[in-house]
Amino acid sequence: MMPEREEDSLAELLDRLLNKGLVLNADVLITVAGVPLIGLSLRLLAAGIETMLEYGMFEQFDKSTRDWALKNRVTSPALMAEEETRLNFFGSYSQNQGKAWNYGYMYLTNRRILGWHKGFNKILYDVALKDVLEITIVTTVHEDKEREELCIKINNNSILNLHSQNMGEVYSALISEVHRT
Amino acid sequence: MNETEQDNCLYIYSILNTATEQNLGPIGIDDNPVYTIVYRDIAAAVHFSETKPEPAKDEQQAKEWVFTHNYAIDKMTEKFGTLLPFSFGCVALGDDETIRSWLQKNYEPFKSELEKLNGTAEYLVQIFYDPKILAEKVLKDNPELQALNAKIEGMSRGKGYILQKQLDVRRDKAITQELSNLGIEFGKAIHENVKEMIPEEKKSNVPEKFKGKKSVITLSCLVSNENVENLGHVLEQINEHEGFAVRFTGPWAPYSFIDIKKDFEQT
Repeated sequence: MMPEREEDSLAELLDRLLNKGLVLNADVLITVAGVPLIGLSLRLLAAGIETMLEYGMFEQFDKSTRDWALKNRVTSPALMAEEETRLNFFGSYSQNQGKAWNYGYMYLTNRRILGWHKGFNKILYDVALKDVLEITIVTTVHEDKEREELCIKINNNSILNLHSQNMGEVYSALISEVHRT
Repeated sequence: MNETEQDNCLYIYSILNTATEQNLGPIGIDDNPVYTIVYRDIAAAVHFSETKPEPAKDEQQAKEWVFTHNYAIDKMTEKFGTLLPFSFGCVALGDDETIRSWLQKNYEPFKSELEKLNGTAEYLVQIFYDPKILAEKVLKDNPELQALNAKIEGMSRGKGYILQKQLDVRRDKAITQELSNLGIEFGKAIHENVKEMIPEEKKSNVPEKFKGKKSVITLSCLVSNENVENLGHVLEQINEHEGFAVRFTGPWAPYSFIDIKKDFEQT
């Protein structure tokens, strides 16, 4: 049998065009309200589930966050004087062996390792490198899959777990910064 | 917003292989002319707008936009071969230079992705089965179930009730077993003819033509152009299996197989 394009069905197109394909890198360019929202409304129509109310709320929320982001574009967290970024990466973290993992941009500087929420320009956590006692890579099961995580013990008895795509690179950069301080 | 601030926007359709700046004609959304912004031997296909896009007036217009986006991608694929399609609705604030420097910054991942996908296209394979026909088939193939069935037929309705339940459970189990055996067999045969395949988790819609059937599996497949015919043969054989039907659609731009997001996250 040969592949057919039939009458391109809307549901199928939507799945491809809204959920897949390349998206813009928010660091460089900004997607504006408007068109992506149409995507949302269409997706809801196609799925036939969400109520208008929920959609309305989302639209409002989405518009205001986007407007806010356009006005207050911040591209990196505020650092201390003489503090320099050594490595930054996108990843997730959890504190004190908690179950909850949150996402954020992680910054390793010559003084600290910190998590930063770009949208709200908020420091999620920060640990001074001089307070780091021990760094290990551990293998754990996360959502039914094995993966490597970084386990950082801090001298106030708390523990920070980190995860990102490039665990090895983060590990070696962190080790060398900690040794330097 | 003050008046000197510019609202110029570029709606992005794709990244493709070309070293020439060119106008591709009014194939864009709302008949906008689409053109290429080149960096070295790759380019972004965009249309220009002086203002930020407004939301669609109604569902009809939104639909047209989605269809047009896809049509533009098809046209460009005809002309430039496999490309990297953008999601619907990606708009960049800025001008050609913004895009060019963005291409420059991400040249390596874009180029290697284009090379990886060269000479391929995406296809969708959906396999359906007819539960009634499959139920008959497992009954025919299984003497124990047949015996149980015959016993029930000789009983009063009340007496037969429990046995009937038993039969239903065992038959459903046999159907599941049959499906998983065939699923492995089909999966292997398909896998031999594709470069990559991704099972679609979401329950995809069952088109009118396949009404009353159930979906066994839906796969997005990345297929080399020279292998499409072979894959067609394999699917034909599955299609001829009693109780099964196959839907084979494509070619599509490789929406499901672009693996660049993680490159972005690390830069």
